[in-house]
Amino acid sequence: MNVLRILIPLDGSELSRTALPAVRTLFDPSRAHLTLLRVGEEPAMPSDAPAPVQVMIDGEARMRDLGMHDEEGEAHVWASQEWESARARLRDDVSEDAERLKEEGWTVHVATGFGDPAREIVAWCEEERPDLVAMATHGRTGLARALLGSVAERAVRRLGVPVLLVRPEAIRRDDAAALLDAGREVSSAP
Amino acid sequence: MYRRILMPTDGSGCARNAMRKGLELAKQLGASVTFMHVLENPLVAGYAAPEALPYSAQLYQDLKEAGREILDEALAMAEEMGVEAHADLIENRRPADAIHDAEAEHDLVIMGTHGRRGVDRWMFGSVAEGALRRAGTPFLVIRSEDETS
Repeated sequence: MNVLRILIPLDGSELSRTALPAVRTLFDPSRAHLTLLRVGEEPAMPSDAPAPVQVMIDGEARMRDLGMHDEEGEAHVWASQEWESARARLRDDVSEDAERLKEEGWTVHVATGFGDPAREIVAWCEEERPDLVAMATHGRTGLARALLGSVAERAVRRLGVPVLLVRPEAIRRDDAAALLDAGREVSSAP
Repeated sequence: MYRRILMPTDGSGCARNAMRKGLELAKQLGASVTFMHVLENPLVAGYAAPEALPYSAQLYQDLKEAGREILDEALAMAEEMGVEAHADLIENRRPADAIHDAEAEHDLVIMGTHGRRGVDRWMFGSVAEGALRRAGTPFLVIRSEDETS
């Protein structure tokens, strides 16, 4: 029996995580491999980052990133560190879910991306060809809507990846509570 | 765990591809499948123009016959693939309502959507979208490629 490869895009919102209980309910850990794709915003570079300067090279004006050409190349290293720590934060954000799923016997991979969730999802699908994309219909910015926006929609159509859509309201309270509140502060609901 | 999958089908060109993919998934999950075809009341649905009224009864019978054939074909495909399946012909109901009625007894709804330009709004046809908007069950949407593209 083939193993189903399921992509679960997450945007850090609780709503986007409602795809998780649906996947747990519908599929068997032994027959499905999960990838949690956490897409976040690109790290903002602080305003005191060195601005590019104009330098003359062989009589021609060129823009150069001063930081890149510092004695130690310091600014360059600093910028890449910023990206790496942003990526680490995204991985951290889904690590609880990933660990919990692993404890239940699932094979789980974590992937990260920056920028437009739709573009990241489509790029991942083109590269990895999952059997299924499972996502909530609502996320931070309407994750599914973003995926199904005009450009991405054509890509998904072309890719032909089946999409499992889960309305957050569709998840039974117990299931949702089991996963959504896992290891988190349970807010005192009325 | 015993799983039940609802697969509404309108018999359109896109449905075949989606049905095959859906049945593959059902087989993998060890699930049983309910195929559902919904007949709308021609007068309510508005596809019988006033001048066609005398023929609407015949039209309905033809549609019903076509619906049975669609379901028979679906059952044959399921049998060929070794998936346990049942078929329901629902009469006098709006498709989105019929899907909504039936989904409570199922763990998953699988729908194909078509890519015919101008027909579908957003990613879905109006039926799939109408059903999904109220869905209490996960929906697996399988987009089949446009046959002409």
